[in-house]
Amino acid sequence: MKVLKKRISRAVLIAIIFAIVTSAALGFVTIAVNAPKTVQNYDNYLYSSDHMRDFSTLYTQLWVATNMYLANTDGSGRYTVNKYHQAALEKLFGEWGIVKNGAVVIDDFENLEYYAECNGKVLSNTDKTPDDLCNTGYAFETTYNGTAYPQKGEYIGLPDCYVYTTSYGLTQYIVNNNVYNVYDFDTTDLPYYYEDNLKYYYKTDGSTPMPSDSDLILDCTPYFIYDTSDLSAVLGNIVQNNIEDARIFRVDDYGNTVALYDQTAHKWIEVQADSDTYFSQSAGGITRSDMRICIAPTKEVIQNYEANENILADYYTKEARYIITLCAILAAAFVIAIVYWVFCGYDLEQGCYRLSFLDKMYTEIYLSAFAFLVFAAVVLIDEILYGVGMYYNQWYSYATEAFADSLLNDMFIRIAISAGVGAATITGVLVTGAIINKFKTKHFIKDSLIFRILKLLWRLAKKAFKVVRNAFLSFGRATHTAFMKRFLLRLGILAIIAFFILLVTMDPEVFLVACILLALVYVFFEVVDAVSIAKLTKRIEDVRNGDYSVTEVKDWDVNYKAQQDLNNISESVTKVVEEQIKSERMKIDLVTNVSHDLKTPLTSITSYVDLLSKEELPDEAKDYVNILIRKTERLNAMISDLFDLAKATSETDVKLEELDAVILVRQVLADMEDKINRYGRDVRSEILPQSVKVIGEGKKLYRIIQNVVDNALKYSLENTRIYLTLTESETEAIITVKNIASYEMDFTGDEITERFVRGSKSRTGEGNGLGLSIAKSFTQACGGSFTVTPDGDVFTAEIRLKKFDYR
Amino acid sequence: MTPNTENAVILVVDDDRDIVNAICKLLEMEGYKTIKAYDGMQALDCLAQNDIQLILMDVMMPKLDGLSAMMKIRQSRNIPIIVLSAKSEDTDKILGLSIGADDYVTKPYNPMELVARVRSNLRRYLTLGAAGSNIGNMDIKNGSLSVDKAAKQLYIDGEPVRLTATEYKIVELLMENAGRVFSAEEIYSKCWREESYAVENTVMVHIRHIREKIEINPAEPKYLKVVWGIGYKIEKF
Repeated sequence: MKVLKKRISRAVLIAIIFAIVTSAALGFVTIAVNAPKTVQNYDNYLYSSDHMRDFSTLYTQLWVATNMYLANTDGSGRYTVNKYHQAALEKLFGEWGIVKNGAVVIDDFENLEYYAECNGKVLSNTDKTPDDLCNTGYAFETTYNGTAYPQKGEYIGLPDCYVYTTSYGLTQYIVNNNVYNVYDFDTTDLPYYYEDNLKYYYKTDGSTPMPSDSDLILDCTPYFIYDTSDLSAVLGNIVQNNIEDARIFRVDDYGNTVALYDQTAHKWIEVQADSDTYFSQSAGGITRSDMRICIAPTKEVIQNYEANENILADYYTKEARYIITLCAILAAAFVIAIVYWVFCGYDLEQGCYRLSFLDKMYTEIYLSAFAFLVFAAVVLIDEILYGVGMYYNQWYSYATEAFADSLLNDMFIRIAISAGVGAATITGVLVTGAIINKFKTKHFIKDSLIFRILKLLWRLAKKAFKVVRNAFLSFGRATHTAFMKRFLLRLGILAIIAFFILLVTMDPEVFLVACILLALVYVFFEVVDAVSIAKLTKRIEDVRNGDYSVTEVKDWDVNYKAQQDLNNISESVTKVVEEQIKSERMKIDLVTNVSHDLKTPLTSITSYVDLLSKEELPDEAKDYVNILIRKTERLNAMISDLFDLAKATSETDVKLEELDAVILVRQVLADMEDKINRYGRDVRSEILPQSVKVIGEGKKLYRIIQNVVDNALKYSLENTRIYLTLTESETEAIITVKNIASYEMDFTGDEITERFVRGSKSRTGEGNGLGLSIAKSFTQACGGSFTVTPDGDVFTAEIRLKKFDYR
Repeated sequence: MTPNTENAVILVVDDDRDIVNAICKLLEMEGYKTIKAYDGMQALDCLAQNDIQLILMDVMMPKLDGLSAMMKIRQSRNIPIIVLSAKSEDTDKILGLSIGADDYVTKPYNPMELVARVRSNLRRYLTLGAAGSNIGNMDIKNGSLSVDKAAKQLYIDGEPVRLTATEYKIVELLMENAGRVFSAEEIYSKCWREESYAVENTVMVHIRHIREKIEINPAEPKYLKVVWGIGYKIEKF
C-alpha cells in the first residue's frame, strides 16, 4: 500500500513536471515561430540585398568616376595626363561605359542619394550638401579612410577599390578585385611579361624594372648571395673579373633571397630593395585630398526603417516578457525536479535510501541515456534557433525550411514537439534521479557494468597469477629433488661440452659424433638412475609385503634420501608392530588373570552347590539348589564367552587353514541336531555348491555358525522355520541364516553385534548377548565379514568367508 | 570296581581352602580317603609322608606352583596327577599334559566329571597299570582305548564299551588310522559300503553317539574329535 502511495506521488510529481515543460516548450515554439513572421511583416529596405547591390554598384561607379576620370581631367574636361595614359584610360572607360563623350554617366538609384567631388568638380543627384547627407546618421563618406556605413543597420561590405602609382610611369587601378595597368608611355613593341595574368611592360634601358623572380629572365649565372654590408666588395669582384650574366641576391630579414642586381641587360640596374618602390598606394603616391564621396539613403527609406525599428522593439520587449515568464515556470519545474532528486529513493519504513524498481539497471545505461538526452536537447535547441534564424534572414536551407514550415503551419506538430520535449525532460529527470539515487545508495560504481567487468577481469587475473605462481613454485620445488638437480646438471654440462666442441672444431661431422658419444654418456647415467629406481621399487614392494629390514645405500645413489626415508619408515613400523604385539599380549594376560580370578570363587560355588544338592533337603530347598546349579552353569558359560571374545578381539593366535564350508555347515547342523529338535524349530538348509574351500580356523568357524543358529533358535517365533543357505560368489562363501523374530526388532544390524546387546530388551531369557558379537569377532579374525540385517520381522545374519584361493 | 580303587588315598592341593574342602567332601562321599595340602611344598611333604595313589593339583599356588611341584614329583613317582586349573587355554592344557599330568580339568569343574576322571585315572593306575591283564592281546591300542578285532569290542581303560555294529565299524576305522582325518563320505562308504550322498548328518549322529559312550565329557572330547570343515578323527596318543 505504501509502495503504491509512493509510486503515485512520484507519478504526480513527474506529471506536473511534464505538464510544465510541455506548456513552456509550446510557449517557446510559438514565440519562435511568431518572431520571424512579425519581423517579416514590415518592408525593410535597409536589410535587403537590393540595398547592398545598389550601394556596391553606386559606390564603384562613383569611385571610378572620381579617381580615374575627374582626377585626370581639368575643369573643362581635358585630360591632364599624357597621350599614352589618356588612350589607356579612354579604352577602359569605353569598356565600362561610365564616361560617354566626355561626360560622366552614373546609374540612377531611387533609394540612395550621393555626392562625389574631385578637383572641384561635383557629381550628385541631390541638392543636399555632403554635410547634410552625413548628418542623417545613415551616410557613407570616404576620403580614403571611409567610415562604416550605415551607422544604424546591417553592415554592408565596401567594394575593394584602390589605386597604385609607380615612379616609372605605371598606374595600377584595382576595382572590385579586377586589376588594370595604365602606362604613360608607348608600350608598342616593348618586351613584357605576365604576372597574375596581367601584362607588364619593361624597357631594357633599365628605366622600368624587371620582375625579380620571373622566368622571362634568361638563365643567369653565377649567383651571388651576400650580406648587404659586403655589397661593394662583391660588386667590385664582379667588375674586376668581368663576370657576365651574374645575378646578385640578398638574404632579407625573413630568410628569403631577394634579387638586387641584374646584368642581363648588360647594364647595372639599381633597384631599391623595398617592393613599395614599384607600387605605392595612392595615399603615398598621388595626393587626392580634394576628393570626397558621400552616399546616404533617402529620407523615406530612413523614416520607414526607423518606424520598423520601433515596432520590432515593442515586439521584442513583449517577447522578452513572455520568455521571462516561461523561464520562471521552467524554474518551478526545475525546483520540483530538484525536490524529486533530493527525496527519490528514500524508504520511510526502513529509514534509508534504497534503489527503486526504476533504478536497478546498469549505471552505464542511465549515463548514456543522460548523455543522449543532453545531446538531443542541444541539437533540438540549435535546430530551432537556427531554423528560426534562417527564417529571419530568408535564406534558410531546404531541410530547415521544411522544419520551419511545419512549425509555422501545423499546430498539431507544434504540440507534438512540445510534448516530446516534455517527455524527454521527464526522462531526463528520472534518469538523473536514478543516477543520484545510485550515488545515495553507493551503487553508482557497484552497478556499473564496467566496474563489474573490471572486477571479473581482476578476479581472473588473480586466478591466473595464482596458477602461474603455483607452476613456478612447483617447478622450483621440483628442481630441489635429486632427480631434477641431476637432470639439469647433466644436461647443462653436456650442452656446454657440445658447445665447446662445436666452437673449437667448427666441424659439423665431429660435432655430430661428439653429440652421439655425449648422448651415450647421458644414457649410461640414466641407466644407473633407472637401476636405482628399480631397486627402490623392489624395496617398496618388499615393505608392502611386510619385509621391514633396513637396507644400506651408497650416499651417491640418486635415491639415497628415498631409501633412507624407507629405512626410517621400516624402523618405525617395526617398532609400532612390536609395541602392538606387546600390548596385545598384556591385554590377553589381563583377561586371563581376570578370568582366573572370576573362576576361582565360581569353582567354590559350584562345588558347594553340588555338595548341597547331595544333602537330604526339603523339596523346596532342593528346588532352590537346582536354580543355583543352573545359574552357576550360565555364569560359567558367560565367563568363558567373555574370555573368548576378548581373545578374538585381540586377534592373536588364529590358526588359519583350508577347509570346506559345505562340510563345515553340515557338521555343525548335525552336531546341533539335538538342540534343534529340543527347540522344535525346522531348519531348512539349502547348500548350493558341491564344495567351497574357505580359509579360517575350524573351531572358530564352528563357533560362528553355532552361535548364529543358536541365536536363530532362541529368538525365533514358535512354529516358524529357520532358513540356512550356503552360496558362493567369485571370492567368497556366503552363509545366510534367516528367521522370523519372536519380538519386534528395534535395533540396527550394527547395534545387535555390539557386546551384551540382546534383541529383546528383557534380560530374563537365556543367552548373554555375546553370541553375535563373538560370531562377528571370530569372522573378522578369520578374515571374513559378518553382517546382521533386521528387515521387518525377518532377521538375517550373513557370514562371508574368503575363499582359500582368494585369501 | 576293583577293591583297590575304593580305598585309594587322594592328595588334594589348592591354595583355596574352600575348594579343597569341597573336593575332599565330594571324594569322601565317593568312598576315597583324602589328604589336604595348600601349596606345592606342603604337597611334596604330604606325598613323602603318606601312601598316596592320586594327586589333584591346582597350578597357581604360593611357594611352589603346581607345574613345578609336578615336575619334582615326576622325578621319582609315577602316580596319576590330575591338574585342576582355571586356565582353559589349549596351550595351558598341552603344557600341563606334557610336563607330566595325566589329565587336565578346568575350573569350574563339573563334580560328576571330576569324580569320573579320578575314577578313570585310579583304575588305569591301580588295575591296568599294575596287572597289565588283558590289554596285551588287544589288536589296536591307543591311549586308554583298545580294540579287540576278533570280538569286535572296544575297551576304555580295560572296561568294555557297548557299541552298535556301525559304531564299532567307525571306531575300528578311526582307531586303525589314529590321527588321520576321515571325511563323512569316506567313513560312510567304508562303513556302510554304499554310495554316499549327503551323509554328513548320518555320520555325525553316529559320531555323537560314540562320543557319548566313550568320552567322560562329550562336549570336550578327548579321543573322538571333529575336525571342523574337514572330517573326523581319533586322536593318536
